[in-house]
Amino acid sequence: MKRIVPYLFLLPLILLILLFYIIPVLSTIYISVTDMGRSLRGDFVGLKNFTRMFSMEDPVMSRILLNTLLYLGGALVITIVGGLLLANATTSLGNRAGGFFRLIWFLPRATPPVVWAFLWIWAFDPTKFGLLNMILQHLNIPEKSWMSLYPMLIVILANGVLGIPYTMTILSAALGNIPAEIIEAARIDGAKGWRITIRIKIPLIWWPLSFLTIWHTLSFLTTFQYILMITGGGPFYASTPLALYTYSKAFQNMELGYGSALALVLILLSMIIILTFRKLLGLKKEA
Amino acid sequence: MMVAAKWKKTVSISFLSLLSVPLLLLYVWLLFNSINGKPLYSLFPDQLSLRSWFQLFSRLPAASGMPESVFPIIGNTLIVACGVMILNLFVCGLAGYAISRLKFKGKDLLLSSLLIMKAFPLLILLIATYFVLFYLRLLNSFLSVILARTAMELVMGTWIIKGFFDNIPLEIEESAKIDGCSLFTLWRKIMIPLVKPGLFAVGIMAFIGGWSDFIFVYTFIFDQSKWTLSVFLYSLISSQESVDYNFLSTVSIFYMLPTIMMYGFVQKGLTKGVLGGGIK
Repeated sequence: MKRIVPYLFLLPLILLILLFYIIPVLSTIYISVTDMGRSLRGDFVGLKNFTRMFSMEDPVMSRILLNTLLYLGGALVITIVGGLLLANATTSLGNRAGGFFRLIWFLPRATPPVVWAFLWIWAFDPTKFGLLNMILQHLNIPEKSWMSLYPMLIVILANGVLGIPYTMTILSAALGNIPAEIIEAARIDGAKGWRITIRIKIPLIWWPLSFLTIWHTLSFLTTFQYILMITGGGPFYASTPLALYTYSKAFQNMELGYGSALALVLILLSMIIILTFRKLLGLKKEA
Repeated sequence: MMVAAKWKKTVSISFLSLLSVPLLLLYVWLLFNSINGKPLYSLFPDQLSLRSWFQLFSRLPAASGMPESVFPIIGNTLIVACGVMILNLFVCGLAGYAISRLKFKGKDLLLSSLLIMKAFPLLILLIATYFVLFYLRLLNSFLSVILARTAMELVMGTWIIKGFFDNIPLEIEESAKIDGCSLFTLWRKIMIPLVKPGLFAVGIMAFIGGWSDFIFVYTFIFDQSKWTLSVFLYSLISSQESVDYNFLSTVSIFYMLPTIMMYGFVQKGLTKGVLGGGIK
């Protein structure tokens, strides 16, 4: 009796892990070698879904991969550089003024995804009532349909900015932990503001900085809901990275087999990243 | 020296304002539109009106395929949010205690899988999850969303609550055991009340997660009668008919108010949890 009691405590957790992690991973592998469609039944087709991915049978694939790289790189730069700039400026300002700006930059994290998407949709709305067009019209610049002109840029901005609050919070804490004497000593030696940041502060926060880079790489690689809502991936795949392509193949074209094969590629990529950087991600046993 | 410091401060503030004004503008624009009678064509309200707020709580603006009243939608959103909160607290409260205090076979395996799951993005499994829910006959039910969302929240939650249990002195348990308490009674009557702050933070995070969920509701729910606020708002945004911007802003503001307020409550605890769990 005594030996099973701990498992009773763990039963709900284990059941949910089985249902939503283990079985889905195994199912993804299974579905990816079938031609499953809308009926949720499929016949074994071997590796056909995978060869389709890397051959001319899927003519948009190269486009998708390029988009993935662009999106990943762009959003990462915005999140990391933006968060670093904000953290640096707010910590140098002290608690009151710095705290005020940090409060503003906390808003995106507390905003539900649909509202966040809506803010961007509307800011770049093609009519004169869109925020950007409205401002430009008052400056006598004609309205433009931004969404179809620069879909990738908007999608990168919306996702990149959303990562800033998290980056800023962690980097602020890291910067706050740097002993004041180190900065003071550098200053006495004649170092100027931005040189102190690059030569002294950044090396000292290298660890959290790399943690955030890996963390956001995983997150940007696999999240697609904001893109789905903002541009829908269009016009014609112009703003579709791999994760959204996976979703749209599976749930819009109802090609669950092919979608799963794409998902499996993403799962493998994520697992490689997680295992390679497990020390950096703090995935060491603590107990 | 003083002049230089002041100068530096001015530069910092102007730089921060430059970055923050566009972001703040997005939110102010939303707020002002929700209290204006017609779509804003300047930065300030020019026709103050609570028209769209009255619309929200009486009869929704008529549009084909849209619900008539917002109250069932709010009710659905609350069902999902509370469901995720209760289930998550139950799962994390039990598991956090077992991991912190009990000895069992396979603990190492469980700990390392939990650590990997912390970084593993659950959304890549959406297709397979859909498939699993189909076989459980749970598609198109609130339970599907509640379960999936809880699975997403529980890793962090278990970790935070385990941390709270770790901090309770062992003597408290020892004396209760000597008094002949069974393990479940001990857990329920003595241990759970001691980790209330942790449960509070984890509960609010889970509530926010359920309240703001979009992708699970959008993928697993087909009936309009089961819409939550997120899918309702998304349908309004993507509807082909002409969009009433003022009304959309009102729905958005109403929808985000609870999450903003609750995030404010737990911000400190969250930052600590994230920092403690993320980097050492």
